[in-house]
Amino acid sequence: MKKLIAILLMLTLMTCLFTCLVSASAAPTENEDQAEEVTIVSTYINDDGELILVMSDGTERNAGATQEIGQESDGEKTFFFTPGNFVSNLYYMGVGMVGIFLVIGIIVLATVLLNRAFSGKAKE
Amino acid sequence: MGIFEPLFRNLANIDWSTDWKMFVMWIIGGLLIFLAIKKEMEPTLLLPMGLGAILVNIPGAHVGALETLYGAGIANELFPLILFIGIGAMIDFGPVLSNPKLMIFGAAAQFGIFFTFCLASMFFDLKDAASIAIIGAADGPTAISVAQKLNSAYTGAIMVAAYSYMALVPIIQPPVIKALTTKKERMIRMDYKAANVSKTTRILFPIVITAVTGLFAPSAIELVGFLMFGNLIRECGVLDSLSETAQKVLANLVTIFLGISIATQMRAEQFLAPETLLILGLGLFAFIFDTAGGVLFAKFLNLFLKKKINPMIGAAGISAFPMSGRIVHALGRKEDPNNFLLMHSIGVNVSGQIASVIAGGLILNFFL
Repeated sequence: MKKLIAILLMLTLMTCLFTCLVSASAAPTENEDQAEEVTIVSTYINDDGELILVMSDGTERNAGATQEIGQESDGEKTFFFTPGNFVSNLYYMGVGMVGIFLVIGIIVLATVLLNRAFSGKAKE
Repeated sequence: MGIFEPLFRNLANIDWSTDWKMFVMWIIGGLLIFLAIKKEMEPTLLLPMGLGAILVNIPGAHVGALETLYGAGIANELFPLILFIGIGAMIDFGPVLSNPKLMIFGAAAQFGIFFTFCLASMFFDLKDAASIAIIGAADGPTAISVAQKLNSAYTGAIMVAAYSYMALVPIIQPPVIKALTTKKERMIRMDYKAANVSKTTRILFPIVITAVTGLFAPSAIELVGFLMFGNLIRECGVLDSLSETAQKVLANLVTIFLGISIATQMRAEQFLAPETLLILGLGLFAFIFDTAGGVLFAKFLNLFLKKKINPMIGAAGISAFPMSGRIVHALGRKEDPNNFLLMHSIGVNVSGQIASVIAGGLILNFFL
């Protein structure tokens, strides 16, 4: 019983610690200037008819294809060809794969701890 | 002739310039039914989808009951969640609990989802691209749930692709596995030592998974929660009748409703579009790169391991349970009849189910 409580406490502590670390790294520090928040500085439409957002950190983001005023909307469907989006969205691939490995890693660790805590009872 | 006019009114009102597409959908519906019956490919879903596709594409007909079912169970993601209870009750996590390290292959095999997302984003906006990419989860309920939450305009095509490719796993995976591995690698034997997993571990495991996944991917809490609820019913040992009901009656009932109500998204004007072909192609890419991701990750690990892993087990990390695990085992036995990979491949396959739900949750975290 003591072992179980110890294991559960350890798991809870690890999860809380990790969540705090992740939140802290995402949140701005007390001394950070509010102006460091990334905002939209300006916008323009490029030659392909796409809306480009110019951000305060100097980057540009492609918001996708625009429609001319008066053009009939094709329901909710959007369909275009912008090869540059493959590279700009690699960020999601990187974060997504790291995220999955991270969560699975924690689950593996928790499972190993569960097995160690209760392997004695299994033998019985 | 006047007295027969009501009988032929509908036929007379057919506008062949526009309604011909409906008859193309009849052919597609017929093809799905053929694949279900003759080839026995996921008949539980392809058959109701096939007949449903014919039903909703009869000129002049309005199948209100299917729309009611769609609104009651798919638009609000209820049917996929209830189906997950049944799936959770069917899954035995024993092989994974015996060897938890296998779960990392489940993670690696979700690579196809994110790679396909990058590909799809060249053609569709981010939410639609994410919905299309989740076809690679090889998990119908996850695909439906994510596509609905992201309000994708291509839900019908996504559902058809997800379930069709799940049925095609025995055709898609083997060529990819063989292309990425050598005969020597496919013949690697892996020892299996059946570890005693305590009942307490089996009971605590679904609870721990729910808590951990919910903390990191709260958007997936419904999916993982219902899946683990089903598993907890199975493992607790005091709800045998509920477990049996969940595995058989509940799963079958929901599958019937799910399969036929998906057909409301297969109306000719929605389904027969160039984007549908593109989505089907991207879905195939997702499955291929899932398989490749798992196999290549195993090969990467082998660079550092003294006792080598058979890289084929990485391919079992997609969520098509238990088909993918059995395919890997069969491929192994083809190369070496005495090579018994089943427990490892099924363990990886089961972990792929968990990883695919986590991937769905992360996708929702990004775009909701």
